[in-house]
Amino acid sequence: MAIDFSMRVLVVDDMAVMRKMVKKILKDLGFAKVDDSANGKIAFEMIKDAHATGSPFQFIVSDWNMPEMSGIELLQKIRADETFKKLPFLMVTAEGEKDNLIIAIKAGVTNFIIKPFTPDVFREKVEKIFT
Amino acid sequence: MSDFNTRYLSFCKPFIDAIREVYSTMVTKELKAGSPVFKEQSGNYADYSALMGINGTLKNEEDDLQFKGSLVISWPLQTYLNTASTMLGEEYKEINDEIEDVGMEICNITMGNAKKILNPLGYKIEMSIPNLISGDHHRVKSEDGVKTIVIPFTSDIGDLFIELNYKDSE
Repeated sequence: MAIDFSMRVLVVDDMAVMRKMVKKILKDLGFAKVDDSANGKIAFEMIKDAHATGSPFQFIVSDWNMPEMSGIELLQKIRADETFKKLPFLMVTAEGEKDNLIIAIKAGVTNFIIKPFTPDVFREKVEKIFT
Repeated sequence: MSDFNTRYLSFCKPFIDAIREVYSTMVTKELKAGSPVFKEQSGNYADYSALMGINGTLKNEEDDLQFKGSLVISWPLQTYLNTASTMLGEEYKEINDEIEDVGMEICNITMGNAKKILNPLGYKIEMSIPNLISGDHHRVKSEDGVKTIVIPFTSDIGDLFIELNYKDSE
């Protein structure tokens, strides 16, 4: 199954440099519609609004540690909503500790990537989700 | 209890390995580490520094103790700009909103990766959120009684240094 690069992607990270870097990697991979949010709480509102207006996000890439709403809290909120139960979610984290990964898996993460990562590793993680 | 200096030097190695890994993967540049130097206080100056506090315990066959400290990564302005430019594939000639948090992110990832290496050695570390200190030719000072190791790095995009500040908790 080939990746549908026309899908809408949302990148969530409180650090501007990471939003920029991940967006660049996604666009270099071929994704045409990539938006971003600095905040998990705003991201969840964006996900709901996008769905309501008929242009839903189809892939979320989120950092773990963020103020206001962490990536894991965002994931839990998404998975608790019937509409977004199966929304592909890639968690980005600087801490690859086993306990954290177990928490993410139990919360329903689709895949995770540990920082630091190269664009090739990121591409492999995305391919694993969609192919 | 293990010898303090030996224990402190082995505590530093994961941070050296971690920042080299960050630069190798995300900045695609090799960092060469110079010799660590013990200082009672850092005398080094920089233009941008990222800082994270550390609260931890060490429990293994030799040691059972608590400690506090901090990780500081410091750059001259041009190295900071070169780092951001290389990371993002665009040339930056001054600091702006897009790249102001580069230092904090590098510090965050370095700390996260060092933690992973330190955990099996008996360390449990809690870290603060990263902070950025900016100001031409500034110095980061710790309180009296804190030991500081300074590790210089060179690369073909400029020099930088890290400081690990450490104090056994009473």
